[in-house]
Amino acid sequence: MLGAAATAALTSALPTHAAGAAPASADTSDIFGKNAGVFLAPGGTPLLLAHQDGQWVLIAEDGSVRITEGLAGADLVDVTGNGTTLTAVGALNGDPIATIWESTDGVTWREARRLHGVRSEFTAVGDGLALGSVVKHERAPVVRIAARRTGSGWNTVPVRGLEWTDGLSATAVAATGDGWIAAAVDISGTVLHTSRDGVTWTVRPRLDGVAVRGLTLVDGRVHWVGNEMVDATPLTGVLDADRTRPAVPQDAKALGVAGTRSGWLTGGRLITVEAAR
Amino acid sequence: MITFSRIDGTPVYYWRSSRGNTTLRNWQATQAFYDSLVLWIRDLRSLSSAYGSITYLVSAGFYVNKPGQHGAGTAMDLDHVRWSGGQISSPLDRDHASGTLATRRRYLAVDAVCRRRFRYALDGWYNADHADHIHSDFGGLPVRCVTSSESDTKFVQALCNNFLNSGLAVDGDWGSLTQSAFNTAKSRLGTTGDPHTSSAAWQSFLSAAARKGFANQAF
Repeated sequence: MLGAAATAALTSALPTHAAGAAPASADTSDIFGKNAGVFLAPGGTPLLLAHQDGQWVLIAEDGSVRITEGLAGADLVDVTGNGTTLTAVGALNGDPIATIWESTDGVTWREARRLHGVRSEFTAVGDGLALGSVVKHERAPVVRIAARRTGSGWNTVPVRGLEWTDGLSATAVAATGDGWIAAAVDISGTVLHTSRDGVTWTVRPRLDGVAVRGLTLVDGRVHWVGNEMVDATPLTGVLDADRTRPAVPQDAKALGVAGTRSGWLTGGRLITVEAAR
Repeated sequence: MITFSRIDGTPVYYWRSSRGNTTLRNWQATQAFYDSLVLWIRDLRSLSSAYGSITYLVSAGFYVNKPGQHGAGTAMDLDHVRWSGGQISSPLDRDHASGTLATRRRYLAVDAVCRRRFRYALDGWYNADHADHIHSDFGGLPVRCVTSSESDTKFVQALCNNFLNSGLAVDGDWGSLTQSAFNTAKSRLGTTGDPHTSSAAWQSFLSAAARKGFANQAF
């Protein structure tokens, strides 16, 4: 058993802020508790779908906020939009149930698909393909799940070639012109896969040291946005080419892409820049 | 989110791109999670005081822009601990699977200290993705031992095997053999209360197990 002094040391409570070494700096980028990323709304406006004060809201670059409907109980992770059809993915709260929501205006959402009978969540969606995982009690991913949007709605599909990433959460998926590209973040960077049919996937060279949050096709080239793994420096790049520092503040967190623009959360607000820059 | 290079004064390095690198890095986490890290390292210092002070930590990440606890700034991936006495514990080197019992016991001691402050601690026995680090996060609090948790069950099974020579399968299923070994462990560690329902009882069990682990003593 511990001595009294040791026990006292181990059980001592800290004040609200630890009395240890002072943090180097603080910022306000966590003003939104969580968010699903950015999407292109009808009319071409980039919007952030974020959870604020217990509800999902739309936030524009000018700071205007609009409350959504139909997302009560949703734990959203990703959102995408092509200007007409909008899709958000995540899980229902509680024991997570992978769920997909759709909207035509970004304000009113309806549940489009729910995976019953298994603890699961979707974590990435793009161009009619949603990727997620069956998850354990601790929310660790176990097995990859995928759903495709067809004329009859969202249907689960098998995936091959992603098995070795079953323990990773997908972070982004996008069309490439002749199929899809998907990203998942591991302990030291991002693994990438491409597929022509959304079923059979082929591994691509990994992106070490960066967590990719968004992918988009611009002028025939796949652009990615993300943050460095350690100090979260904002980064962008082109598949199979160099990475660059985008013209955003150092504290900016990548939110994904909306059309050809990348979205970033900095200082508690949304900013967007051309993804190809 | 706040930025830090040290936890309560102890530097935290990054070795995934260059092993042995001692450049200070700018990690990020929420203030609340950093506060828990301070409590955690104070636990670790106290329970491993025979090794001297903690010279440095090595991590694979805190805030990382991806879904889940890392994306919320409420998780840590621990790679390596170094003490001033020269001792190390290195999840990065898969110490949980070391052929040396003392190394495994030290790993389990560090693991136990993580579990004192973090309900979800995912270690080398949990799955292959955590074979080279110990992940700790804010999920599922308060801390306690949950028999339906694969993480908790595998930890208890590995603990009993390495300190009691229980010969359990580390399969994450809490059966009668695991329960019996756990009862023995609780008794020998002098645990009072129910670690399944009481955070204090579970933390007391973990502290006692950690002290045995750092001392390389069976119980």
